[in-house]
Amino acid sequence: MFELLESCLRLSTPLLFAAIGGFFCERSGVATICLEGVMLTSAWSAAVVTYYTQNPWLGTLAGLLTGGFTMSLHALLVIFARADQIVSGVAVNLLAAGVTPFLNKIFFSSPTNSPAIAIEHRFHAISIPILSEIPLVGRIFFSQLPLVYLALILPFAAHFIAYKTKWGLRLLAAGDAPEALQSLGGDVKRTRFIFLFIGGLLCSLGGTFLSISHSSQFTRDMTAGRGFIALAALIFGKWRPLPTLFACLFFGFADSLQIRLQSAEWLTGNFPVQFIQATPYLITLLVLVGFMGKSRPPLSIGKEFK
Amino acid sequence: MAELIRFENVSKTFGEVKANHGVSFSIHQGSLHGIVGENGAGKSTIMKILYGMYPVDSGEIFFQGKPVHFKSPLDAIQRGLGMVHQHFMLVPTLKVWENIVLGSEPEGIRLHPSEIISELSLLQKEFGFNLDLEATIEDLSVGIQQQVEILKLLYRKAETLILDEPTAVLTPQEVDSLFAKLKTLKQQGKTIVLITHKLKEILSWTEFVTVMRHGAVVETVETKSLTENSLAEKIIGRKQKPLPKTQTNVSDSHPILELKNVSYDKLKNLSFSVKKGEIVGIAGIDGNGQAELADLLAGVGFPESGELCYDGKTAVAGKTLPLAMIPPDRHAQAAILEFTVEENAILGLQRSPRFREKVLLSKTKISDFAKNVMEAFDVRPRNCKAIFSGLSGGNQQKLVVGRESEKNAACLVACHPTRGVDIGAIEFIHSHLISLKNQGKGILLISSELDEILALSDRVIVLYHGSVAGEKIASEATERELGLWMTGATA
Amino acid sequence: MNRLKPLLFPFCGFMIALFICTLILVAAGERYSILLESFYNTFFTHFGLGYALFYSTPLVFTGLSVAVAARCGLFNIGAEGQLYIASVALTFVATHLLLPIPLAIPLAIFAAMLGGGFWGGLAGFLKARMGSHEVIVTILLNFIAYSLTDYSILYLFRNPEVQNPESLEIFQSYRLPLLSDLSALVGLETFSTTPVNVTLFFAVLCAFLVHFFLFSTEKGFEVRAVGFNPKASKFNHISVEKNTILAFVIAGALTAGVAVNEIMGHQHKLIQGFSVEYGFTGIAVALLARNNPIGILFSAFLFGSLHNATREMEFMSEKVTKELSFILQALMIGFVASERVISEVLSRRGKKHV
Repeated sequence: MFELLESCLRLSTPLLFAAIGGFFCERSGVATICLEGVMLTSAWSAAVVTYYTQNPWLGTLAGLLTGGFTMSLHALLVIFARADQIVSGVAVNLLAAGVTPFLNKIFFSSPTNSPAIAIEHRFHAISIPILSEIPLVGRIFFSQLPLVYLALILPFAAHFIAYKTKWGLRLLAAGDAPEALQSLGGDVKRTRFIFLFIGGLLCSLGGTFLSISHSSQFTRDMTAGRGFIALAALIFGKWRPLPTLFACLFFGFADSLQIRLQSAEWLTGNFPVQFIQATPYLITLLVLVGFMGKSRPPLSIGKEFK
Repeated sequence: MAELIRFENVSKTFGEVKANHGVSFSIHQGSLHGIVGENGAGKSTIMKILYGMYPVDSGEIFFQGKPVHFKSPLDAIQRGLGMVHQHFMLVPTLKVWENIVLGSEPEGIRLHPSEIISELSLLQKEFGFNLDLEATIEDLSVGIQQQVEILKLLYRKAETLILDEPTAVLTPQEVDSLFAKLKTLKQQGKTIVLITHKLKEILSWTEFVTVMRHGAVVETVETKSLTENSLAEKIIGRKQKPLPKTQTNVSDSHPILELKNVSYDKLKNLSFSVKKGEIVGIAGIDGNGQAELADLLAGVGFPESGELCYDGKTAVAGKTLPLAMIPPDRHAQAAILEFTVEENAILGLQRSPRFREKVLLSKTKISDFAKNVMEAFDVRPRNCKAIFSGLSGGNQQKLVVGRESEKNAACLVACHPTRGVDIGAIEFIHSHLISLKNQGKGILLISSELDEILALSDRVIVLYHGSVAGEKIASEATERELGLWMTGATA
Repeated sequence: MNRLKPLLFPFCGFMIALFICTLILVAAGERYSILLESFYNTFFTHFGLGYALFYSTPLVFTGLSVAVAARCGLFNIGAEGQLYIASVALTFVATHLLLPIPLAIPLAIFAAMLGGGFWGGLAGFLKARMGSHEVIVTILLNFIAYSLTDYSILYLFRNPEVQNPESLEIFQSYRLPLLSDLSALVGLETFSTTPVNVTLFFAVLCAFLVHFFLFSTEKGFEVRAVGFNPKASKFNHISVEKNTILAFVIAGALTAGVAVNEIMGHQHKLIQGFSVEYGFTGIAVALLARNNPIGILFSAFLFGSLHNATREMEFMSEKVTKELSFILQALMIGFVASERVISEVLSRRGKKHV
């Protein structure tokens, strides 16, 4: 049971980074279905740089730069080239799905995975003194990988920025009424670009978590739809950071349950594993169907701004 | 009075359209200056150029005697200009105080709501406003939203206020209080520029007026020297055509359209009827259920309770009424901008066998039909393969009116039929509505232009909060009384 | 000439994308001519052309699928999932019902259309009735479709004699003739041993049918009306819900052609993961052709050739993977999506010089 909760936290982490990253992007008024691609490119470069430098911090930095760059491509296409936001997102996802195996083959002569990173060069759990010694709960919440802590704080930070600061005011205005912001001398394009970039950075932390914290290498398509699940979590959370936190934990839990069930012998004997594998997607779909109508997206999302 | 702003030979073209050419006039410090002209005369454009929203193509603008080129509204705001746009520039999801400080927040990254609110309260006191600063914009009425817009400008220390069609969405009473407020501001030394197409406002409130037509200035004069007729002639460049004579033969005919205690969305217990051979006008401020009424009659919605009857039969859910309709929003509801003119001409009629050759749609039959409509309703240019969005507002609307008339229904629902169209099209559409009435059709005219309602209707019904606030024979109605009903006073 | 003009821009985009890919290849240490060589082999050998046409066939179907949805204002990223469900339905029929050819082939095609149409219709239903965004819904449905396909292969019609997960072989009566066999009948030797088969003709026919549907029927008119302006459609008594579902059902049903080409025309069995992202490439195909059904025939051929060319490069080079074609697609989509701004800039430049 406790292992299940622990793995729930770990599996929620990439979702949280992507979803909160997506929060900033979408709140600024840009539909961002390319969270998946941003995570994928950053996962790859983090794995490669960590493998070569044997330093996960440098790997993280590389992941941030790559992810930020990938999101900037979306930002450029959408904001300055006035491309359709969904089409641009598809292009970025395709690019990521193409570039990562392509480069991987050039570096490691295999398109499918990068070499494993030695265990001492990966991130390790940090135990918070005293708190981690609380029986049961201590190990789950206070003896975790560094990014897990960050992911759990992130929604609160996002909430503060969005609703308590003047940057947040401009973020919300850019997403709900860009013309109003522009008429008051605000720069909608700049605001959107900045928040997309920030969103891209956050999202790439999710990617690096996958390749150098949660596992030890890059594998092709390792994001496996997490970018889209994160987007669903954002919708489920009504485009607000705190409810999104719970949505991510919920999806993370569904995922960890799925993994647990796959190895449960009493079940696999008489239940096809494929159905269990499909459950996270199915649950996401059901939640999405149940909540979409009740969740109001940022008012100007998907609309072109001249 | 000192000269504040001077335009010299300002020209601006958008693509093929000359929005302004050779515009020259001056605005005096501390005056209430009106700019008047019909739709598309270029009044908003010239002010938006001043405000830094569009660059000039040629010409010069002088501000306090010096040439200026505002690159963005921010430049203009910093020089003490402020503009209230026709479509409000408010963030509907944010609070009043947030909207006011947006873009000019106090120092520091973190916002301190209590400090901001107390600062704004002082400002409210100074200029005689009384707004709830904690309210969310989308919960407020349009009149209040407009006050937020003005307060927003005063917070930015605006000395010159430009108001673009500020009264389009207000009741006569709200209009009065707006102008009272503007008068006070003027007395406090502000300069006020009023863009409008309503002659009465110009005549009763402004000191100077600049008349514009087809993108150019006709003349700038002292308002005192004008009468309603002389101003109207200057605006359209000719005498107005009188409306055709109407015949009244309503008394004995039965209702073609009847609502009995209908509730739907904003509509509450709404009852009225339209008989054959009469025009019933629905007046009221936008947002009091007009859009919902249109949805209901178009079959987009269905009554939650009550009865909707057409030609004596009660409407059934899922079956649309066989009436013709000019929808309220030409771009969003009446037509498909990306379609060609001929495709729009058969929109809604596409299932009719008259356009079919065996099972497929016949291109020639569609073109012939579209050409006939364009001929009869004077839609220009006469190119049925042109993309609809390329037509001017008036021609677009005439095509819609033509298409709906082709349905030859016993009842026409005309929602804001002349909104955003030129005077020629207005005259055409008005006389067409009257001729339909004379043919014995029942017409429901929904409009926010009280003048239009009074000129065309036999009976006027005022809609307030989704119900009938009052009903009157048009010839006996006064603007004052209708205005009171519009604000909720009951008959 | 004027009718070709809209295609000029996407074509330039394609060429620029090819050029950038060449730069990438050179940077990766390949010889600069490798792309040209592989395209030469694709267009000028029976083998290459046969394979290019074989790969183009499914792309016509997925391109049409994306285009029909797009004409209704919908983004169908779910063609990949739809084509798998179509394949499962087809394989189920073709491994279970022993029928004579005149019954077998139409029935199998119908089953595939039913499967794909159902999966597409599901997305349409969720969009129309529940308001769920079709992009996320179709992507999630893709993942669910993959699992369902894996399950079906393993439990419904697995071939126990082979190690890899694949289905039983379909009955003889369900198999479609190869073009090479047909031409051999009249004494020609074309397309050597390539799997291009009669589904190609079926694809061309479908493109024309979709064209007639969109531009010459009232249903097509309504689908397009909804695509441009749902509100105006509603006001003119055109149901947005019905047309959304209809467009998605048609989009899904069109992917049946992919299953027919692969299973009835080539492999004669359903193999796990057979689709080389046909569904996703369909997006680029439709975009390049601006959702014009006839244009899709050409753009599908372009992308089919591209696919074959990258495959050739994979053989020729140590460094290239077939995912290169994704990069190319992404570049091209990005270029076409920024068309308005690019052409504005170009026309401004042009004016200044005059």
